[in-house]
Amino acid sequence: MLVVAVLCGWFVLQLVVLGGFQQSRAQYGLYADFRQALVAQTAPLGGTIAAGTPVALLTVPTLGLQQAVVEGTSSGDLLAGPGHRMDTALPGQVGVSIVYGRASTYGAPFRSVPSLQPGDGIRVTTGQGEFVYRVDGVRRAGDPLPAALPTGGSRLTLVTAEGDGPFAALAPSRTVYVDATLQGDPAVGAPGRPSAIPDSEKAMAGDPSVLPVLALALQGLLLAAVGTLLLRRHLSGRVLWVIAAPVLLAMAWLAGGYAVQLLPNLL
Amino acid sequence: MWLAVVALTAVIVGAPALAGAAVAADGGEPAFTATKTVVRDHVDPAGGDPVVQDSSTVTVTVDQTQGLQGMQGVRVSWSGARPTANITGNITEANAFQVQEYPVVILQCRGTEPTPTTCWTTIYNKRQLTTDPNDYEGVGLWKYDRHWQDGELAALIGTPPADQVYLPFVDAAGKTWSMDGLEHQPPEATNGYDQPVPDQEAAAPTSPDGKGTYLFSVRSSAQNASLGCSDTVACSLVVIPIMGTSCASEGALPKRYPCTAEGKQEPGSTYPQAGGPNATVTGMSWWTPSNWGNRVVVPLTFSPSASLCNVLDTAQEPVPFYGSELVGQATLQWAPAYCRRADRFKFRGNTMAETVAFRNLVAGEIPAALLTYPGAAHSDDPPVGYAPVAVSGFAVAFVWDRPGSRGQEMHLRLTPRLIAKLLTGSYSAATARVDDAGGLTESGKIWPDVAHNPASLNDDPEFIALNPGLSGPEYPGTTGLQSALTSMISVSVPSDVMRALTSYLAADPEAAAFLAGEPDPWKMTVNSTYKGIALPLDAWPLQDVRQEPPGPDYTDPNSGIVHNCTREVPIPFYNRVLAPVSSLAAIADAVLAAAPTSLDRPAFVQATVDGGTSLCVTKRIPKQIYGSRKLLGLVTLADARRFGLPTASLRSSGTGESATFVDADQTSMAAAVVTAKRTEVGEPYLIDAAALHGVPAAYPGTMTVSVAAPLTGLPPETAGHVAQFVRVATTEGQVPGPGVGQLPNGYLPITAAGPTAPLYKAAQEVAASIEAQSGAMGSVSPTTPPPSAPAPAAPPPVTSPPAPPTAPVPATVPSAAGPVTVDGLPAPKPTSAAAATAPGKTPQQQSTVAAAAVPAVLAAGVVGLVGAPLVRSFSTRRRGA
Repeated sequence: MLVVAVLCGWFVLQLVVLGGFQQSRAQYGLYADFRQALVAQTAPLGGTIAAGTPVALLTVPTLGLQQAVVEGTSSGDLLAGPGHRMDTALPGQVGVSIVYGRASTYGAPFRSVPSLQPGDGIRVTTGQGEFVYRVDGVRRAGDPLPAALPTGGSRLTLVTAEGDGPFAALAPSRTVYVDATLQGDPAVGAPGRPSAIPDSEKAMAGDPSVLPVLALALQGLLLAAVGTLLLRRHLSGRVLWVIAAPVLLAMAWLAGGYAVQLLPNLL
Repeated sequence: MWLAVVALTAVIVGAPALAGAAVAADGGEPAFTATKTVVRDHVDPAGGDPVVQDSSTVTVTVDQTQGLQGMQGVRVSWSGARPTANITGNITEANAFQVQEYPVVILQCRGTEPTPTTCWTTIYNKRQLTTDPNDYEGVGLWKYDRHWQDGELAALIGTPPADQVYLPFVDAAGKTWSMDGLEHQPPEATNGYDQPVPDQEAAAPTSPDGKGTYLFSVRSSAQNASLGCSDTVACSLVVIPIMGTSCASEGALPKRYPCTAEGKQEPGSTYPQAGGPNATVTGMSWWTPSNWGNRVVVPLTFSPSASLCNVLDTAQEPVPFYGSELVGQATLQWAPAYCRRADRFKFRGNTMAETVAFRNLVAGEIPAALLTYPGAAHSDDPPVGYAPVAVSGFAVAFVWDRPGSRGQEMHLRLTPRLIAKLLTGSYSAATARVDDAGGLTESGKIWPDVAHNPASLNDDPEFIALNPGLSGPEYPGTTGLQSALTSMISVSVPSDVMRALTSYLAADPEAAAFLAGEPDPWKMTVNSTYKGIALPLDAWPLQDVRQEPPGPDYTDPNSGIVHNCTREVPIPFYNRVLAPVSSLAAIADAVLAAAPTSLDRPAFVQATVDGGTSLCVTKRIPKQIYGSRKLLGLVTLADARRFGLPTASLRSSGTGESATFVDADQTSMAAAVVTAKRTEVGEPYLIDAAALHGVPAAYPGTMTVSVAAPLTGLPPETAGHVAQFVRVATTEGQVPGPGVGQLPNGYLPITAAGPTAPLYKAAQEVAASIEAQSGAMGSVSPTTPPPSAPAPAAPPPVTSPPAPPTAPVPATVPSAAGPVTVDGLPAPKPTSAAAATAPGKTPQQQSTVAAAAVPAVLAAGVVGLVGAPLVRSFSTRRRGA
């Protein structure tokens, strides 16, 4: 029973605290890669972009938010930071561009996005330049949909989740949208964008395709646990824990990282 | 601690199982197999258990039983059955039930546990038995079946005892037809004059090795409403290996024909045999309890038919697509995937000659057309975009029974020159042209150009060299006058299929030379009225208008008027022979039923109603008899695969010994579609027959089908529907399978990677243009900048803007109720109230998993924390006690 408590506690810790560390580390790497790509002018402009590639830098001065946006919105992609939905135009291009972000786990980059006010500015830097969007408003269930874009217009929509009740911070269950319109002229994107995305990349979708890998990670954890138990007879307590703790922690972190991907992507 | 290990193991083992369930099941082969031991046993005179006289273990397989369409051919095969004797040629007629010993009777019945009264037979005498008080040849011995229930037999025979008993038929509406004569049958049964629905039930023979096979054509409620099988009414195929009557006590039975008698004839012998059959073991008693108890029931499910949409939603206006028959089978399966969904529309596919459909399209009469070749555009026509949605093709389907009752031939080879001969009426055909001395007869003088040509296809040395063993002087009955083999059934209206076929002929040097007038190596020349015909053509002309010599006069006995029908109804002779029909689907039906379309000579028919008028009528020549069928027809590949018709291998390249012959399959069609090219962006991808001539692995009949829609002038909602159709058809509609929305057999799936990748890409581009309705797509194909190319911060304006998939709707739409989805993306959603949410509002998107996940895990942890000392104290207390 104690072990159940430990496992659950570890999982929550990973989601809330350790995930944050992981995400910051990932952001550091993405920012460095994206800077390099901007300088070399190899940043993606359209077409089919591999999931996990940084495509834009998103800055919201009023929230103090600066994140590198990756391509793809599955639960696994959003572990590294906000994700750009693959079947929409890139930020700064003609059309609607949609970015998803986590609201309470793994750094929660979009936790405070629902508190944006109309008129706030959002700056996006992509391979085609810097674009400034002004927030039109926050949209929840029952609110009217935004007006249709005029020809040649561009809009950015940030999507995240929020909850209510005592566990609101840990259990965001409703999606919330923030729409922002481009100020100035958009760029034209390259064709060849995917026209449909798999179900695991839609809002509040988990990614069941990680189950096989999760099974492997859990097996690793199990092996580590069994190994620890077997070594208990041969080694003293302190030595045992010095050897076993890092292995167990690493396996638990790995398994937890995959288990998170089963949960909704905006969590 | 070990408990935790066990718990962890359980989770690990469960995860892959979940993963397996999460991965969508791929269906695999929907085959049916069953094995059953069928017995014939008799009551033991000594009073013990029934004595088994004869038993076999039969294994029945059916190649497809799920998601069937009406008229689809399913192959039933069996092994381990008792071999049949006295085998007839035509196994679907009543005679086959009456004279064959130990056949396998196959019928379609309603319900998953059918009774004999729900099984369909096309005529009453396949469900008739003689009570035979005189006991002639054992025909009445079925009465001594030991499995009759009390009173059942008496009720059947009645008082006074009837000579004949009939098995009634209960139709789908519950009405019982007594089936005791032609007039007491349901409307779909044969009425003696014509037959609305071809035979499907058969008494099929088992060869001496115990194996047999039969292509069974299933019927849905569209073909047979009395049987009434559909996606909501389950049906089954019943396979009965006939073993004969299991007899009751021998005591009172006549000795001349003991009930236990076995079959009289040699297994494998053909009808008629001296002495006739033993009636106790023929197929006539398939519905008596002994044989019915030996049945194998194969459950069948049917796909929802396309007409479902008319029933489900009569209010919504359909968006009609007109054109090619090549996608007919695909649209049958695709249509129900549209009308059942609120975010789609009511799709309807209609056939129409492609050139006519194009003219209607540019005139604004119809929103979209389905065609292969681009229409001839005039200067004031709106620009049209072509999005490929299917890769299929034409085929020459055939039904050919091998001489000597050796079964059905499944492989045939044809060259373009043979097809040219069949289309041009170059065989010397039905009327004798040359007399014994080699001179011209009466009709030979009218047709001197073909008088010395072979009489029909199976006399042609070119055909015999390619297909040995099918005809020739060593097979009596196959040479000479076979008017069905002087032509191939083809289509009379303009069709892209005819254009593709004639392109195939024109690209072949031998066929082109033959049509230009050169004799073939065996001195056969083309019919002079077709000499020099310019190919390709949209519609095959009937150019030989020569009339045959008039037949004898006929004096009508009622009126005394002298008639001569060939003069009164002057149909040119070759028009009667070639007799093209107006749709390719009709040709597939004709080949399946072995019913040639050729017309007989006009005959005088006396009207029976009023004695005054009498007329000359022309009728089709009689249906060919099973066992001696020879018929070819031009069909779509999808129809051929649906009905189970074999298709001929066409010559793809080379001549003589080094020629390659290819039948249509995924590999050969892929090899052909790889050569498809388009002239500019927005034009259709076309396969050039001349280019295909040099590719030996490619099937020459491959054709692409595209949706053509105008790029300006369509209302935005319709444009959205057409674009949605293209997108759905090229993604969901290209998944092979029998289910709703899937792709049937006979098509090569269009995928984003592979040989059809350019077609997929083109379809998405054109769909976006159709949706945007922003005019011609431009003559320069948009260049995708490679990732390493320098891209300036402010890109220069591009001359032909590529259409991104999220092209916005024109600015005339007002604010709140614009056609957008929850994410703000413009969507082709109909503004009907069928949408789940009020238009213009962000819908509720709640996730209970998100709400519950973390709190649940926390709660479990707390429970574990609190519970651990409790559990420990519990166990110590127990140990202490």
